[in-house]
Amino acid sequence: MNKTFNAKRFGRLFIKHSTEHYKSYGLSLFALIGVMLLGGGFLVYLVRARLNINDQWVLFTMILLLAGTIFTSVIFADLGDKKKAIPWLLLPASHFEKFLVAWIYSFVVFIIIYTLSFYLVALFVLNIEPLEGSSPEMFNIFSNQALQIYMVYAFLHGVAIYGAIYFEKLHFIKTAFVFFISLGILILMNKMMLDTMLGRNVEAAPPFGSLRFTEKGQVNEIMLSINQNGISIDYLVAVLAVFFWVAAYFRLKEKQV
Amino acid sequence: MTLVNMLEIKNLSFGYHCKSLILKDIALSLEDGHIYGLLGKNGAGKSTLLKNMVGLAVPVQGACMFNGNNVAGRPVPVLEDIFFIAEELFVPSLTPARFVANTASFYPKFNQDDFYQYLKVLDVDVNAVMNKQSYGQQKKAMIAFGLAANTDLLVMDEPTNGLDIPSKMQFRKLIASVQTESRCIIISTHQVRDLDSLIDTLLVLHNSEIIVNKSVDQVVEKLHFGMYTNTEGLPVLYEEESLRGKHAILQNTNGEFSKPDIELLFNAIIGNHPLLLEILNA
Repeated sequence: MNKTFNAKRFGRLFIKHSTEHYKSYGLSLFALIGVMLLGGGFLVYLVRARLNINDQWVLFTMILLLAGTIFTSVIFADLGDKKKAIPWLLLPASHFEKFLVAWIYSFVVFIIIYTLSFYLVALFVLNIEPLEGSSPEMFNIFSNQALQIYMVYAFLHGVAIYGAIYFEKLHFIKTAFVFFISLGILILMNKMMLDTMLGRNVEAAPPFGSLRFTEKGQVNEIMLSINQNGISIDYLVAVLAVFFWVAAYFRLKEKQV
Repeated sequence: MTLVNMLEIKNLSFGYHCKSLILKDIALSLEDGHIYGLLGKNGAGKSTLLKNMVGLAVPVQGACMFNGNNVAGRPVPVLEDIFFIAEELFVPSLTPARFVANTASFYPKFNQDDFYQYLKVLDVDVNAVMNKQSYGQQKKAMIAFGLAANTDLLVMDEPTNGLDIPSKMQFRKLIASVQTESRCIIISTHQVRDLDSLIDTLLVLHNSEIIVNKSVDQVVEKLHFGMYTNTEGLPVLYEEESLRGKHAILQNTNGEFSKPDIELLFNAIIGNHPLLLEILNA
């Protein structure tokens, strides 16, 4: 156990990582708050009304997924630079401990800091100027909707952290490119398979998505019954997130310079 | 006394994807208490071999064992006892003192007093932020850290690159003074003159193979090094002209020891002189 995980050593590694990266992380947080303020402010300017709960969810989700995957994509950027990769890989700590520090920062710490920052910015944007409409109302982070968004982030985080280790440069761009190409191929294959199975032309959709086809001018949609409350897709996303985290860890173990 | 093979390289071959092998079937046993000089031309694969030794590269065949552990998985007990100073190194934006506070605790045998002493000897400012210093100063700070880590295996890739002449002298003195019976130091270089007074065992990597693995004592036992005005009639194995005469290597037939000229020997070895190699490896 000591070889794979040692609490004292992990603590030292966490402190070392924090000490060596706090400046860049601080700047990133500053930039993130700037993006939130700009995004929220711009939306308020466009609609000339307070952000409603739906607008807040849209902003929260979009910025979380984009900023989170960008941040995760560079969490292992040092591995792409041989000069930095050598001392990092040879530091006497296990691969698991090194992976865990990066995972905690890019997933747990990021979610906490991001959510707090978003709430603060939203609070500011909602109250900055007296506008027409109902009294300020904020979305509830302790809801099922938030949990589903965090699950989607977990999945994309898994993809991004794998790409961060796999690619040596332009991590975010290359990961996003491969992800969207793979998604496109998956949707195409799913459609071809369903067309063959059902003997009719169905609309393109991802696996486990809805099955839509037109018959006698009427659009029909069939969904898995357990899919209607979103449970099955949530499980699938969670399993995929864990799959990518495990794959990223093993990729890290195999990393060579 | 039984000699311990600290680092055992067993039939190691290494190559990158779909390319020819850079290292072919290398077998080496490196013992503690020695300073090995790994010599080879640019691109011979010295750095690649060192990376295989410390677990940064994984051989396609064979293994590299450190005190009985395979280094390929970079297990923590192995990392705690190995320190590698790369040719191109990275230092964080910290002072040496702050760096030690963050990093030294990962090395169980690290000695802070030694570290500050080595910094003093190498003339490195303890309070200066490392990445704001010159490349030579950065390198010296990391050399001081590597030595103070007191690992059993210290591997250095071209450590004198970037050091000025006084620093090279300080480096040689320091390495000689810290070498102990329990430590194995491997230094790779293509600047042979920088280290010829330091190394006690010579490893020459050429054409993907280790073609010489001899102690300096064994070298001078078999070969004689001398300066001659005229070498006619002498059984010369290799010679180089200079302004002062001819530097030559002869077979040592009378058992007299001469001061070895490692650079001359290196040139002779890689210059394809089969008789010299045959005598040396006999």
